[in-house]
Amino acid sequence: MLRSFSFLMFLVTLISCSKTLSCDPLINEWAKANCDYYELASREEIISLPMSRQRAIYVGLSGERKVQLWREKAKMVIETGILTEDEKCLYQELFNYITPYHYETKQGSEELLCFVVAWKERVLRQYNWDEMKLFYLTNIWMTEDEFYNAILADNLYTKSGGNAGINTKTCECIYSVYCSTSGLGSTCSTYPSCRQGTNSCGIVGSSNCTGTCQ
Amino acid sequence: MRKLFFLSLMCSLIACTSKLEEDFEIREGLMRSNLISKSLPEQREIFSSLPSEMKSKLYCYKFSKDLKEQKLSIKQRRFLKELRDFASIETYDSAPISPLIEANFLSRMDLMGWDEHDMFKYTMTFMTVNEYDDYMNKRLVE
Repeated sequence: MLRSFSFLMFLVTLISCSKTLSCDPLINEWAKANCDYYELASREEIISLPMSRQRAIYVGLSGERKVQLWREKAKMVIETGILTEDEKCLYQELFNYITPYHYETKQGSEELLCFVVAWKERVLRQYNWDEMKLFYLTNIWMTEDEFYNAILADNLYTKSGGNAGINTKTCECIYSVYCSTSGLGSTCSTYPSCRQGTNSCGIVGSSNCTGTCQ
Repeated sequence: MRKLFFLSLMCSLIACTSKLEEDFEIREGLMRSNLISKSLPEQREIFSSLPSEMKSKLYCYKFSKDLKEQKLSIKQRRFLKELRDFASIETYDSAPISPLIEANFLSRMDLMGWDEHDMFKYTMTFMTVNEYDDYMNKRLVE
């Protein structure tokens, strides 16, 4: 069960910069080298990273910085006015509860886990939140729009590049997984540019193809 | 106007949930079974040249089959049904879809407990999951 409980994992993760930050060796190396920098970086800098890098950096942040990130996000959510007064109280309760101790000690992480499970049950019982709403409000340290942007910027999907050297080939992919599955290469790259025009890529084949397999 | 809307909605639902044809013609001389025996790049190229009605029919068939054949959680079932409704003629008529809509669907990957290969076979190919697995197995043997 469940990756839907990934918010528990995000909230409870106990790993520091010295350990494995990502299963992808390249991202792991990058995150280890940049972990100290992002510990002091602004929220804007962190959330502008592609998703896979953000995840790795998040894992390496100190407990204090993680708490800050969650509280900054909670403040933004509350300011949008999407929650009722009662929901706001309950939502704030979660983020007032968390402290660096919950991220930095095994006992703290176990306590947090118990708290979060009970909190989630209360939310689902008292309010009409579905899994998606719960996910956007509590699983990720970004707002919904920021999360989409991070996903779209992710190297795992389309590798960005410049416009130099226009390729005469027609675009054939948007995500690298198509290339590896088709045996055409390992990466969907937008460098060099390809001729766009076919909308047969992505979810249900309804998005623009933007790259070529390399 | 409202009646017309509900009528067209009902028609698309009936079209998508009525008894699935085992095979059907994609275009003159090309049956679905022939199409899925081609390589992924060939499939994609042919798919891009098809009219919206046929694109919608191909995905509708896929999702209906997967919903029937795969062991899915409630959340996964709900997601595939949402995608089946999304793969409408209107969607293909107005393609490409907004990157934000695309990202919204992609963001469900974690929620579904899928990795990117699962995401691909469930949402980005009109082959059913079983057909996709067969395709990949054959590729490995080759």
